[in-house]
Amino acid sequence: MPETTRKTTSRREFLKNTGRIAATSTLMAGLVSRAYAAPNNTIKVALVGCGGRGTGAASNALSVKSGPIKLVAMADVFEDRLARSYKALTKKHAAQVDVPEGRKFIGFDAYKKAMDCLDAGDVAIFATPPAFRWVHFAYAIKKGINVFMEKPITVDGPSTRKFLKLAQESVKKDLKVGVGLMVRHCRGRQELKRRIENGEIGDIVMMRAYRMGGRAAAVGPKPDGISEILYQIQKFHSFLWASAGMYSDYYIHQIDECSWMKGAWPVEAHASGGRHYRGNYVDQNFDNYSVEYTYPDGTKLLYYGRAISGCKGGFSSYAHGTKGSGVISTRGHYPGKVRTYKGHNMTSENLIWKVPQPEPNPYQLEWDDLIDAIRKDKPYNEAKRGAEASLVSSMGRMAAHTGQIITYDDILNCEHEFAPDVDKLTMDSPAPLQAGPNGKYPVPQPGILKQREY
Amino acid sequence: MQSYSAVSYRVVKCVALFAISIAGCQPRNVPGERPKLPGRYTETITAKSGEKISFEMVPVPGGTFLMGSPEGEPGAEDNERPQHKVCVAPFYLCTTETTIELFLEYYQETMSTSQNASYRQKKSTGRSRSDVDAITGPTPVYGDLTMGYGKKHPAVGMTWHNAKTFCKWLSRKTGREYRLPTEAEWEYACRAGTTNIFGFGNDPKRLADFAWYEANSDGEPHEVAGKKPNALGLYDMSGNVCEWVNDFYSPDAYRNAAKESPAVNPRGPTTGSSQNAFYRQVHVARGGDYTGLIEELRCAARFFEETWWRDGDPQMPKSRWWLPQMDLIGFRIASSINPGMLKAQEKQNDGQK
Repeated sequence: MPETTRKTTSRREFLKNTGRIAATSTLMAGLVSRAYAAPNNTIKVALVGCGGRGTGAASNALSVKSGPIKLVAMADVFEDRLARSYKALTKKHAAQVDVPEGRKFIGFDAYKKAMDCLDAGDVAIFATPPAFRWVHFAYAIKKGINVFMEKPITVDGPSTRKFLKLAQESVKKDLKVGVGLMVRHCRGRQELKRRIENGEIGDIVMMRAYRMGGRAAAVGPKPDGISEILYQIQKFHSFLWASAGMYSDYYIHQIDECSWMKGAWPVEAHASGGRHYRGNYVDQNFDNYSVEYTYPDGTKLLYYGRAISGCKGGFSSYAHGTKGSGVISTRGHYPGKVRTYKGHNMTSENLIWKVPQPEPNPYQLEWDDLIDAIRKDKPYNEAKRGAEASLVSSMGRMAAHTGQIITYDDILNCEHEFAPDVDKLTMDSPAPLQAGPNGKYPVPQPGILKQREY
Repeated sequence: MQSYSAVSYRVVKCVALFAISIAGCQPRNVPGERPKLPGRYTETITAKSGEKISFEMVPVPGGTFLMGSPEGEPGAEDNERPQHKVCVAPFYLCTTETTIELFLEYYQETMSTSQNASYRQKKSTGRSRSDVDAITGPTPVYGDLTMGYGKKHPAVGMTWHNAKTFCKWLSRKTGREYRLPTEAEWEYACRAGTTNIFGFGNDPKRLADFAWYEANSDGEPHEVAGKKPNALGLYDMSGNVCEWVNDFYSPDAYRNAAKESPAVNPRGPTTGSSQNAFYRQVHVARGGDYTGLIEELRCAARFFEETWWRDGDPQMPKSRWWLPQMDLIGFRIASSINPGMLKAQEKQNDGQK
């Protein structure tokens, strides 16, 4: 009995075919270099950071069809998160989860123990809050381990400087490094990029992007029963040192996709933003951000972010060129539903091209691409690009938080390091951010604090 | 889509000219005499902001109909067969798909974060458990709940569980029990007493008058009630967004339902199809959506949650509440007509006379 309907049949056939193509490359994988796939051809995976996204990434890893792959170790600072993650992964991928109690590690040094279960050529997934990326990446490089890391990968200027050095080292060691900016792996966006390069909409003169929805990344005071450090890690979106803030965590994808289409990183940012209805929320985020990014040729990306319920929503990115316009994201990351138009009225009469539906899942594609590179020993390293995307995100955030124009060099050379000793944290450490006597954490003060964000 | 020619319908018509009778069955849960059907009514809620939000409910008379597609219906799938006799008690159905405006109000009143959960707990101390504040609603949506659409667009991207929770909230908010329609109720209302393929007839050329679908939607859902309603006054039963119904999905559901003739107020299988763990928890959605091909807009066409509906959710476990960026799926609310309610309304009507 076919358990399907017409449309979904075509969708399913389509996915099946994608799988078949991947399976063909499996056959070849055994013939090529063994240096980057484990000798027995099974790639071992360690998951560092077992929250919802880390678990999702591990599931994507275990869903790659190009050869045997299994999860062998897990690490987190929260025992319950690790347990939940293990349960979910076992439910879906029972045959590929080989993580006995002895390979489940809890604590701030758990990442080392988890990676110690891997061999050179295996893969570690970094999905802890971004603050820890450079710490974990340094260890992976030392061990010759390939990495998939969630975005953002740096939180401020100093952590970006560290990361860029590490990125160079990882290239020298020919490690394969994927960064979770999955839109770069979306086939529709890749085709849009080709079309823009071929001049379909002319030269890009302006871009705009929107990420507007209800309250997000806000948090109330720390409850009893959890330490300050663990609370800040648990609610990392609320604390700039841990996550780079809602701004970077939420907006990086669209800043990155626009810059990709433009073919450049912005050189400066001019921004505004503020806090409106804070109530009992104590996080460091603004409720809204309006950012003007300037590219080397003087053209702009206008970025609008808002987290206020009851206002007009939006989750889209657009490019405007001298001949036409393009939709980079329609209403989220997936499906992209990218299109190009003659002129700037995006109507069906003006449509030049639209990507056929349905689209393959970019969260899976980014893994298919990484594992393919590992098995075939193809150069594959997104670390530098990911650090740059994180840096220009921080540039816009700092511009809004300080009320100053922030250039690429300003943010790169900024001396304010949010959590300099993040590599030395233990369960007993004081948190990198301390609440004031009123129980509130320091927040940005545009126009008053100009060199640092809080 | 043009290949879906009107010629093939002639065959179907003959088969479908099977007598159905609206008054042919006395549903078991309505004892005594066949009650007089109450009128349509408008429900208005007051949002926390003071704004009024209204929606309209129309009565659907009870009766017996043939559920599923007849042999030979073009584009029909196996899971729509056998066509079988079903008897449905009268009920109310909303004239439109649930709008973003109404769904946003629910979201804002019930959204669960650890923050406002404890706040709600404090606030509801000393109140009865039935207080709307006691409902734990969705976690914050990833991205934008409206997906950029306006307040009169259908609410989209919620899981079945989320749609059910909405009904619970709306019931407490209004004091009247709202729920999702059963799959049988949905198809019965879509057919609106007809035996044809689309509810308005068999000619796909007329689809554009009644439905937003692949040929005219421009790739997105539209404001509700933008097209002609069916004979019962229901808008967008075909196309625009697919609509959650209460039943679990099983490809065998109709074969099992057909063992009883007529099947009386069937509620579908007790779990989803057991072929794998995922499909055990899958529910049915009906009506096709704005990307729908002609055959997907047939009254009999069945849809159900597929794994790719959650591809936009990069988390694991997947959200209980959201299908991120899935603007193909929404829902429409129903309400039972019970004798007690009828009496109350009659009294009210008499009082007004």
